[in-house]
Amino acid sequence: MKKPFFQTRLAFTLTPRCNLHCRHCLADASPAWSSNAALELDMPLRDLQRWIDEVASSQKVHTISFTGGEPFLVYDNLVDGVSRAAQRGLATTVLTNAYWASSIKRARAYLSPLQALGTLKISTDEFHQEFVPLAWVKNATQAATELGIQVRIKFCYLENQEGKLAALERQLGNLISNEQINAEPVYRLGRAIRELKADQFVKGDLDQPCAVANVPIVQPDGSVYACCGPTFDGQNPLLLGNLGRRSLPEVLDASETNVILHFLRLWGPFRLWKLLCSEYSDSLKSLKLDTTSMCSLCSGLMTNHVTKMLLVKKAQDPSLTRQTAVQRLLLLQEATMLARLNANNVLRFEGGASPII
Amino acid sequence: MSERAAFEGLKAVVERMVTDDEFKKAILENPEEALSAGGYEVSAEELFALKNLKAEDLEGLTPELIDERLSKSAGIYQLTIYEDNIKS
Repeated sequence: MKKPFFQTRLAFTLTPRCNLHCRHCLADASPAWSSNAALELDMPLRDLQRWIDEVASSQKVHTISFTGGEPFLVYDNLVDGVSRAAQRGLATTVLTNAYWASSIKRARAYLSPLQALGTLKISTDEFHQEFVPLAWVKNATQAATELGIQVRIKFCYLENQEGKLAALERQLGNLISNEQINAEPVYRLGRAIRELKADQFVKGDLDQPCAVANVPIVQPDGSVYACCGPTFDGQNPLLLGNLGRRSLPEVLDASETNVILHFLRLWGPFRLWKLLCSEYSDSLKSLKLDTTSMCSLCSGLMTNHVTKMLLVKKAQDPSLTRQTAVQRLLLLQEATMLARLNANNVLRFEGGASPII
Repeated sequence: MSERAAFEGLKAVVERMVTDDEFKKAILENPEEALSAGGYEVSAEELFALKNLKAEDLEGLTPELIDERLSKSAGIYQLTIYEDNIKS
């Protein structure tokens, strides 16, 4: 197995706005966010430029993903960001719904200024196709390929939908290979909780380490979270910091000693939940968390006020801290946390800037 | 030394520590000497971390623990690895 390099990729949410209202959207993005007032929620260009420069100077991150919402809604900023990142030697990806590719001519026009882009990742599935026909995805795929931009398809599925993936593979077969289609289950998060029935979701293996937390995400307001999951509710252990107070390299560096983050990377949310239950059974006996998937469970742990408080407490446990640092060294071959543990004698919780209660 | 070379050096050290008690003892007693004798190359930070390992840290380090961790992560890391193979 190759080493899952920690924080070598980083994502920017250019805007929380989206032109679509997909039933499964874990970010709950929507055209309702497209009022004039909502425009103020976009990532300011000057901040994006500064943060890209900081990323490039850190020598740690090698790939930047631009996401949203729908990042093509802030097209000028997207073009600027991709160009700036590429000029500084960073690889780039953009995740889009391809609404802008209603013809091959339009697709070429939108993508031509983005020739520095490494990978165009297009979301398409039964939910996106309620708004964006597959023909537009094909236009975007063809135009990107002509320009030398790699294409990936992100396909989300519910229980018993293997046939839909096979159909998509057939429909796109003359444009891309099956290996370029990344299929992942719909997570029971965000709007999907309200719009879909519980038994429609794929029940995943809960007891797994989290790979998503290798990729931090910067929100438009400068908040940096450890992953793209919907835990953007302010203070929780996966809030790594805010770029209004510290630089991006400083925030990423501080996260090297975030006990909860690295426990999740080593063993996943299920074992974290078990750990809490074993130590605080009285506090948690009446609490029911959604166990549809790892992400659902993790979201529950990070947003419930009781579990958040217990996680902060646990993160300050010297025994768990040392155990996590040692296991990072031995199982992930990551030495920084243990080296710092010994240099500083004790690690402190490096989550949000203020107490999480 | 490149990041990749450092990773493979430390990985090889850990793999040997799991199966070779003498080597594990040697690492705990004098990591610099043990690494040198075994021809292993690690970064300064990795050496610093190894120097501060305690015997009790390694009590739970078994082939089973490593196998369990690797088997659970094998599938879930595929996507991350795949996406890293993009052009710059």
